[in-house]
Amino acid sequence: MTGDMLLALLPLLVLFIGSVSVLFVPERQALVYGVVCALLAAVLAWWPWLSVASDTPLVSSGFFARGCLTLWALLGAATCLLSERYRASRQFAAPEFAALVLFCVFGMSVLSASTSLVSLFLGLEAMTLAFYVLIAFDRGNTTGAEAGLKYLLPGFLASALLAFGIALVYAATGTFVLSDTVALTVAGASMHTIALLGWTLILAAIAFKASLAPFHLWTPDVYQGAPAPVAGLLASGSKGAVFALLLASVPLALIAPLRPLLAVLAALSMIVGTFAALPQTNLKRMLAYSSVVHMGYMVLAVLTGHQVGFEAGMFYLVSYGAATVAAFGLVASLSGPSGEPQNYAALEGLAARSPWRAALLTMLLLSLAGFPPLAGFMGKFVLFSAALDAGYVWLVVLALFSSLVSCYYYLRPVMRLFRSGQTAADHGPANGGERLVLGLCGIILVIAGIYPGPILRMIAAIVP
Amino acid sequence: MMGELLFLIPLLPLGGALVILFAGGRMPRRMLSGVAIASVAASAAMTLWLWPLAGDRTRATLFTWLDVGALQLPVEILFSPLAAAMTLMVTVVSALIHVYAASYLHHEPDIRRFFTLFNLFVFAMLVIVLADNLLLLFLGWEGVGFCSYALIGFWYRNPDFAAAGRKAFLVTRAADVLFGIALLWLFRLTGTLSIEAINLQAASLPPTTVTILALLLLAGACGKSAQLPFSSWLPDAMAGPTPVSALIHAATMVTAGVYLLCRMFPLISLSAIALAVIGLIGAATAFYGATCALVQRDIKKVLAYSTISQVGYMFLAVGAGTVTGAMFHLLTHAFFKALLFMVAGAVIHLAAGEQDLFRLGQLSKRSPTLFWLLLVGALALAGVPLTAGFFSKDAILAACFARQTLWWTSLGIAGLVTAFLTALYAIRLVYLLAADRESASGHGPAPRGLVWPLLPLGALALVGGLLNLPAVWGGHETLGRWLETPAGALPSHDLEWGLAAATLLLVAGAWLFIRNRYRVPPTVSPGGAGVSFLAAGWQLDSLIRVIITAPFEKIGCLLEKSVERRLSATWPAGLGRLCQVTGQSWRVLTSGYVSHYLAAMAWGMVLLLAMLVVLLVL
Amino acid sequence: MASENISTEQLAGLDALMSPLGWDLVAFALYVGLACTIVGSLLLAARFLGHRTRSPLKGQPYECGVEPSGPARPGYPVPFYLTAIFFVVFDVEVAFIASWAVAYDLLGWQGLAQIAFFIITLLIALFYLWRRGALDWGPQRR
Repeated sequence: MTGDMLLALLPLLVLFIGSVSVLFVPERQALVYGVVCALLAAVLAWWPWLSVASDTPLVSSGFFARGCLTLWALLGAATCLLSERYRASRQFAAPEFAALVLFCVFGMSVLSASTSLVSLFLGLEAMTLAFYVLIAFDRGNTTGAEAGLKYLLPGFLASALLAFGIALVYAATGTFVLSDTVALTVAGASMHTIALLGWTLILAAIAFKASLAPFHLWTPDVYQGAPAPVAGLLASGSKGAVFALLLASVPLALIAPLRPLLAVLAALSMIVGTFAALPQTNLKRMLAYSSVVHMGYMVLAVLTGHQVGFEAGMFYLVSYGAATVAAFGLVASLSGPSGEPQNYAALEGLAARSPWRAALLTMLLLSLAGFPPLAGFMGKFVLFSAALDAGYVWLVVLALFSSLVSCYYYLRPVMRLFRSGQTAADHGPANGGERLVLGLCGIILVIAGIYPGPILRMIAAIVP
Repeated sequence: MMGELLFLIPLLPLGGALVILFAGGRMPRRMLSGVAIASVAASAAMTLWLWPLAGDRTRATLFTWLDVGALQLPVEILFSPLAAAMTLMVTVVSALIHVYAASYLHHEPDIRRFFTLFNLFVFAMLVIVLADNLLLLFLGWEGVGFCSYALIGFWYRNPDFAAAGRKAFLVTRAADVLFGIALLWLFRLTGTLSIEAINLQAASLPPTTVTILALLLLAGACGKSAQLPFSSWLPDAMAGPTPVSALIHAATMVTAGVYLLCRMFPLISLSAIALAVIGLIGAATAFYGATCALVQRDIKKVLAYSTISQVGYMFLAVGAGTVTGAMFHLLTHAFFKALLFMVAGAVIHLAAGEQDLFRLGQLSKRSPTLFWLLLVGALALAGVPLTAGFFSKDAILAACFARQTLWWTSLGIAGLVTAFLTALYAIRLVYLLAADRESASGHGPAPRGLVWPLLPLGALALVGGLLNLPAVWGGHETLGRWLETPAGALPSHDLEWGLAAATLLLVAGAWLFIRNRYRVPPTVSPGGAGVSFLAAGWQLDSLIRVIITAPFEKIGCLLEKSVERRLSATWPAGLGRLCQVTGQSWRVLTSGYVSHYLAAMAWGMVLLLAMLVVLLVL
Repeated sequence: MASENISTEQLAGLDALMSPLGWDLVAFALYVGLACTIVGSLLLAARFLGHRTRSPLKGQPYECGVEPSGPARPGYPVPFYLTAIFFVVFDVEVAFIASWAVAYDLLGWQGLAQIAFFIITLLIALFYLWRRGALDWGPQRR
């Protein structure tokens, strides 16, 4: 371990030390401390003296890893900011909450930066372990406990699959280094079949984390039961980290026999997610199924297997992440002491009560549905055209159909917003942190739709 | 670097609109209107400052919105002399009308909505003017359409006004469809949407295609510029507040059609048929508008029909091949027609909302300044020699006669007849407003804010002819040289003098006729069948109702009863229900039991492994 | 292009099956089969050998004769459970420390620094637990 390596690991260390030390910060300042740690890590990732990229054996410190770390750190900071008021009305223990969020961000960053199967496992488990607790953090809420259990048990199964898959891949290739394992599998070593079996098991575990059908059934229950800010982090960050891994370090599409498997997962996700979202009347469950569909689109980016497709995928992640964080952030900011406004009926009359938040909700749902000129449209445009270039015409047609049908379930809550409702509101005005996060998400949604050039260029600069 | 500053010209009004929209609720009224005026005035100042860039035909790209293969959509503007002249006119006239509107809508409660839309309109109009990309131009085109719709129906609680807004929107939309077809077709043919590139490639297109394309563009222009047969929305559009009529429906938006034809002239001029049709439509509309304006009783409707008629002259000019003449008349018309509309607004304001010409009067006594301004505007409209309107109109007629073919000579004669009619109704307007009769009394003297913006316009209406003084009168045709646009066939000196003499005679004749007729203030009389036919705009509305609207409704009812009900009850509704049922049935999968979820994962594993094995074995 | 891909895929598949007679696959199948057989036979044995009775009494949570009363999820002090958890946690950490201790001379100062970081983190965790009162037995604190 040289000094360069320590420097390269510095952002990760900041996250880790922050998550340990926040436990000793007083209740009132804990979340702010968490925000500061996350932002510090994000800034350190781009500090000039880190420019000498020196990879450690387990995690890379390349531009892509640093970009992802910045993204996840920002998501973590957003989660802390969004949960300030939410926490106060539910008597969460703030230090533990902040510690878990930071540790979760740490796990995500290790995952998306991993260069080895070991660090992949470690990162994924660190992230998931934090989520097990975060989801069930609201101890007064029985659905929260149920959600925690429903994430825990399938999560164990997925971890077992992942470990077994890694073991098989290692047995077949004799190395843990990700690029070597993929290259050896593509080259067709003597134990080719075993390697393929291993990759399939890893794929299944990843499909669970990314909630691809048919590994998606936990998603709606967990989203519904988890505290809204946690659900936001789960929906954007954990899935984003998994896909960042697939886009940068594990180009599964290079392994030819896995391509049909990926395609089937994508197709099933689009179909199942779309149909299941149609009858929903609960905002969080609807978003859960819609995330299944969006992850199906993301698999398209993985399938393209080339640079342009990966860039499109990252751009899609940014646009999807901004919309999702804003959606769950809105639920958090609209929830009072009595509970979250999850049902569409609870949204009635919101446009009159708090027009800004109603406008943002409308905008982000339209963006998810892919209306121009918002970010979702641009994301789908670049993603689908990249997939078309790669020759997956039938998947793109399916994706187009599913985004057509998606207008139905995205516009249903929007209609309710503008109906005059009888429901009494028990939420106050948004506080500063919520305004900051929601406003930034809104700006990203608009800018990425109208003027995507700079974001695309930034992504092109970091994608390896 | 300076080129990028050009984007500030349209973006300043947009910024003003956004500030008013988001912060207007918390501003005092004066500050709100101040923001609106300042943003447009700043835009005008920017135009003057960046004026030298126009000489080099500066082109600036803000960014490329979409860049996929052949499809490139850069947000790009072209500051050519043509665009610069139009930009300066739009910004200056807008700034003056903004000042006027601030004091005109003194008692209006909802000026936030008004100024948001008003500034948004200026933005969209400037996008049309500056865009070098047909799609961007189309966005501005739809933007002004929307603002026009929302401002005509500004007092939307009155169902008639709201209906007028809808009518304007629908009629122009019908024409926009044709424009949209032309746009897509051009993209298909040339692979680009840049106006300059299309004009360069136009010569290589087959002649028939060019003719059809030009006619489609003409249809789009006719819709926006209220030319026959799309003219019927403009008289109704007078339902909006008078500043709206002055800015949108006289000075700027209705001339966007002419501007479009001028920009696309290299393409259009390749087809003689299209030029002939443009000339015909222009001359016919000019004549039609003038006859209708003769008998209107509503002061704003006189001006509306007059606008239709004057824009017809501009179309005639484009048809005759003199883009310079069209632009010249466009500019002078913007000055004197905006002036007339604002005088009309002030008169209505003085008379407490009375718009009937036969109930107004005594203007010369009650407000001499306004009367003189009215006189200036009317003289320019009538084309009295040495006013701005005289030079611009004569240039158009001269270009027609100079072509020396039967078609263009007869169109020129129609233009001369129309000039006589124009003089008639312009002088009639003055006489009726000055008539010595008891008129509805309203508020005291006109507020200063309603008068001083008119003074610069009045001056321009008088001396605007200097912009493009023909050589015969000792000028250098400054505008034409600077625009570098085609000026059409050159008229001989004898022809120009003859035309000037003819115009003088016609105006004098009209003055004598009106003086005899209206020396005694006329009483309110219903008038004969001919008068009511003209007053109803040649029954154009009824005609459209019989020919288009009624059959359309009938077919619609028929289809609704026979096909739609049966079909929608089966196919689409069935498909929707199928989706819903599928969704419901798949909900069962999410049973809530963790054991089921684990089982689903196991089955998923089995599926993946089975697929893998099958793939490997195959 | 596409046909080429498919053919190479097919070739690769055939190679994998044919070249060493697919011994790795066979071994793997054997392994899977063995695992399934063991687990299945145990389950089946329990099903057939076990003596089963169903009665309302048997369905009760406690079979000691005490009638259940009160809510099913009462708060219950479990210091023993906590202690067990702590034991497991710190026991696992000992495994890491022991593995360093075995090779401390090979790892040198760097290894010492790393294990020190690890131990300090553990100490902080212990301190935190202490502060939170997790080590306080009995009801005197709460």
